[in-house]
Amino acid sequence: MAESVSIAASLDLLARGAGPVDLFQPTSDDAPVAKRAARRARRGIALNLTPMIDVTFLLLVFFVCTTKTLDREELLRTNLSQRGGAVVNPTALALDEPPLRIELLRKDNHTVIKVLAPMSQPDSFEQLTVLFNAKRYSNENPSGLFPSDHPIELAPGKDVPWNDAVAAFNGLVRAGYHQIHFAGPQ
Amino acid sequence: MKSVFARGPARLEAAITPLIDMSMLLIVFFALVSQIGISDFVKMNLPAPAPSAAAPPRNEPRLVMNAITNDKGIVTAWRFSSMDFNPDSAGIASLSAAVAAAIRETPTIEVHLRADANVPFADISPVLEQVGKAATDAVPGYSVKLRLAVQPEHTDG
Repeated sequence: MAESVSIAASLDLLARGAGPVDLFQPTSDDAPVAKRAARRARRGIALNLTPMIDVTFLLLVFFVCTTKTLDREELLRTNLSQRGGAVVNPTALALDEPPLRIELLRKDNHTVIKVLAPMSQPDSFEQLTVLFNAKRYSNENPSGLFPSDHPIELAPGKDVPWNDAVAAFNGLVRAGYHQIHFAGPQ
Repeated sequence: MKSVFARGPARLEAAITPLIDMSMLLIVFFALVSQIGISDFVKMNLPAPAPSAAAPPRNEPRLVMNAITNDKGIVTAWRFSSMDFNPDSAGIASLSAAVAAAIRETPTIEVHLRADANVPFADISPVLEQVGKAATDAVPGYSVKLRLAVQPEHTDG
């Protein structure tokens, strides 16, 4: 009631050409309103937390994405030989079966595959897979020469890049063999 | 009843403090996890055979050996468990001993080998040989579960 009276008085003043009127100027009538405003002002500083939460969640998303990226690689499985490390000794008499030796040589910036067995020589790692898959003995392929657990010795040359050594290994795994060992460079 | 209305409209406030606490804890956790990941997974250009016979890693205990290379693709150090070992014979012997100790402690552990695609095999062969020997000496009859890290086919690196 007190407020409506005050507004009416102010409008009257404006109509008479007086300047702008402060409606919220405390008067004896609206003392409780002034008190409330003062109390509100005393309540303290309000922190704007929204940007902080935004940044926090952005950081969170960033770290989650980074962590996932790091694990995105795959593995080729093999066991290192029990006969003294990765190198299967080609002269060891203790071997049950002589391993089939495949050499990788570097010529004119290309890796050449040389299978030390009387068989056709592959020109590429894809051909190595096809050739050795055809030579793998199984029920479906009784004319195959080597069972899938036949030891294979992969001997890359000193200057053969790791990529080609892994490609040859991968080709033999794809052909179905699982006794593949790395031998020392020639 | 009058006193209830005198209190004014009820104010709804979300309790933001526990939210911020949890967010900060999660950030610290992921920051630490990614640091561990970074020390294990050095950024490099892994071999990328295609089509690949590789499989995603299993949840087996693992240790990771990284071949650290310089700009010319020459191995300057072997990093294992946040420690760098020289690529000379003494360094490789120390590396092999550290790997063998880890294998003795956890025989089911897998050894992940991470090397750049362009590293010559001559730099990797001595490590394979020494690690195999050290592991067999530590646990007779044991063969190291070697895992060769490759890039999956569907990624560019």
